[in-house]
Amino acid sequence: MVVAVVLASLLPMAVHASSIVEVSKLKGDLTISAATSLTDVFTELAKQFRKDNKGVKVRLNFGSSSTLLTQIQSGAPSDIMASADLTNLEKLVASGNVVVTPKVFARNTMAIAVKPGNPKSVRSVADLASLPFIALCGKTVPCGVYASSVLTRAGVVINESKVTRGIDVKATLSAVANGDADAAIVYKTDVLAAKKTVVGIDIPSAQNVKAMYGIAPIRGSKNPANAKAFIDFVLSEQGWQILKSFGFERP
Amino acid sequence: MSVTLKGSVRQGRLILDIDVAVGDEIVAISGVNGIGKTTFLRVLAGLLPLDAGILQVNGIVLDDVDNQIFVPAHLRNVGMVFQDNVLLPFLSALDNVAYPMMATGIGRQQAQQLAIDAMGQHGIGHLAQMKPTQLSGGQQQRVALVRALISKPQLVLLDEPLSALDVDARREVRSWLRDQLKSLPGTKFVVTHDLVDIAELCDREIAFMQPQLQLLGNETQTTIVR
Amino acid sequence: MSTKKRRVGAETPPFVWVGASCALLFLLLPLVGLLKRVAWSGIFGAVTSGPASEALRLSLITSVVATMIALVLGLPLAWVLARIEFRGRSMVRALVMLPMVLPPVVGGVALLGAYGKSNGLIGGWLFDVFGLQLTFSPLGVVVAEAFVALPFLVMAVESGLRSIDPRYEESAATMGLGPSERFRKVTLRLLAPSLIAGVAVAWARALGEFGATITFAGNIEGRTQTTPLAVYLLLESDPEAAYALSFVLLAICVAVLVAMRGSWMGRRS
Repeated sequence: MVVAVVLASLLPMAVHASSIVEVSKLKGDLTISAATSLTDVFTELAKQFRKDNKGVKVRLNFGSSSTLLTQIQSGAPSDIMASADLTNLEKLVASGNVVVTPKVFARNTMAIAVKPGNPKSVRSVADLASLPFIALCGKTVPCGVYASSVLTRAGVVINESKVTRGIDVKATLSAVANGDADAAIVYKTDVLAAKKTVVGIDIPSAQNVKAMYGIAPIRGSKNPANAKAFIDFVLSEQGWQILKSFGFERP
Repeated sequence: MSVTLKGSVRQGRLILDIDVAVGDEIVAISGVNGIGKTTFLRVLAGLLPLDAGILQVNGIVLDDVDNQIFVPAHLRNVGMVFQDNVLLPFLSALDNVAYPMMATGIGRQQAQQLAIDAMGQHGIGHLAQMKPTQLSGGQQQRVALVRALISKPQLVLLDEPLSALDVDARREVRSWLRDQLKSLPGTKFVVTHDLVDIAELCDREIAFMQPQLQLLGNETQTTIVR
Repeated sequence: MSTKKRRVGAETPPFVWVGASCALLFLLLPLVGLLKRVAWSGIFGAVTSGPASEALRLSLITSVVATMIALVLGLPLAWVLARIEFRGRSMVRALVMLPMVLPPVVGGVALLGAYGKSNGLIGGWLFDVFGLQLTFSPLGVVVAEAFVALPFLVMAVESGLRSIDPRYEESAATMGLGPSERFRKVTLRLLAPSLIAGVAVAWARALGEFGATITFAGNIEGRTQTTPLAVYLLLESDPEAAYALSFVLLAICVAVLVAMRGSWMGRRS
């Protein structure tokens, strides 16, 4: 009796499932250049995308958005650019590497990362000024630009001689997690992802900035169909659910 | 007796068993290659300690294994000419000759003066400013000889001193060498293959020999018979 | 028809010419490419102002100090490895060569493990007792650079020591020179070419060090941002300055190589 009920309840799901899954005819490669702060979430997005598109081989290339910009402008064979800010995408439009309007697919905010246990009792951005060394991203890297905005909005000035600049977000975070920096200003999503090695301190929205993440296909890519499919996936409800689970906010 | 050496030393596969007592004379050391002639000279020079036994020169103990006495090379008053000469390549011929005297405390100027005199007497004064790499093998050998003898050492050790010279030079240098050695007090050892050298230069010959070849083992043993 | 008599061995097989030309091209093309990118008119300004000039100054000072440390520590170590037989010597030699084969960033992580203020073996103690923090300090840059440069110096000096005919020193002994006199007057003189080559290689390695420096000493403008780090960051924000800085570094290295031309790998040029 119980078995029959169980089987009966499974049947509609089986039918439902088979009607959703269309066999994807896409094949070939797909190279995605994505900002370092997207490492974990895009790895997951790529994994899900691959499940539904078994013929596509996805290659992920992470780096700071400004590094990726230089790579693409120098002719790197990337199909998609996912950037931590819109500025770099606009530069790609200006240089002709992107010919469609970039779409904003997520938002992020900044947070303070400190060592576990918060040994220096950091509570706010203002407290950063009294620390011996803090870590920020490079001045021209999006994460570094956002951090500067946060400091400006909080009215805090920190001497450059106390700041170690990381090449990208992960290096910046690593200076706190593994090195001797006492705090860093990085994306909230990165603090969440590194919760075993750092502790996060929220930045109030009055001082915080909204980082706009954009995505666009690259002109001249050899896999435009694959690129479009992936971008659609990222912008879809399923894609948003994955982004949300990593701490990103709605665009 | 000027030099007494009774003992043994081991160098790799070679075991040298020595029992020698020599006076103020020029002694030729002969024997086949590899038998230990150079090793013998190195023991006398203080470059190789004995493994057993005693070495005395002019009544002073230089090496005594049982009593743990060993006088290192730089403290023995030895004049040595190595095979292949071994002049210091970064010094001129003159400085090479002067070096041993400077080491005994003679001032640089004076040492160089003495050196140039000695080299002139021997007919190689014109080589004074040249570097060893610019000299022929024979020229190097002559410089090395002057260097070995100039500080009048109490023990002279010459390893194939004339081998690089051509026949004419050989004759000339041999007679010069005989005069030098005869006028020096102390014992002079000359390793040589040349029968004429032995006949003309030396007062006596010590032949290095193997008593028997050991075919089974890997060791060569040399016994010296006085 | 005349036939030229040629000595056997004087003919070079064609594949040797081809291979050598390819190798030369392979090495020179990137250098030419770099030179082409430098904006010659603005180069002096780009390099003598702001972060670029700070980076150059820091690099020159730290690399020289690091090389001196490598020399002071490396010479005795090379001596022991070359002249003294002891059990486990080849193991010790392999360990000494380790920083040479280790990826630089891994070297940086290792340095953090030893000298990091928060987690290092003795880093915390250094800070508590002496107030010394190596991370994020120019001294830390020196430590990182010396760490990667030391094996190069040890290798060059050890091989130099081994190649000295011991009879020179013996000959000097029979001439009456004691051990330390022999070392100073004979051994060091004979060692000079290898020593110079070792110092030059070590210095070049220290100057170009990136991975260990940025991981251990961080990237602080004016304090620990050495020239390679500055070039890396400038490439995105101010490429002109990056190329100019790269060229200056290149020119310094070329100058040193030319000055050393007689002493590379022995006396022949």
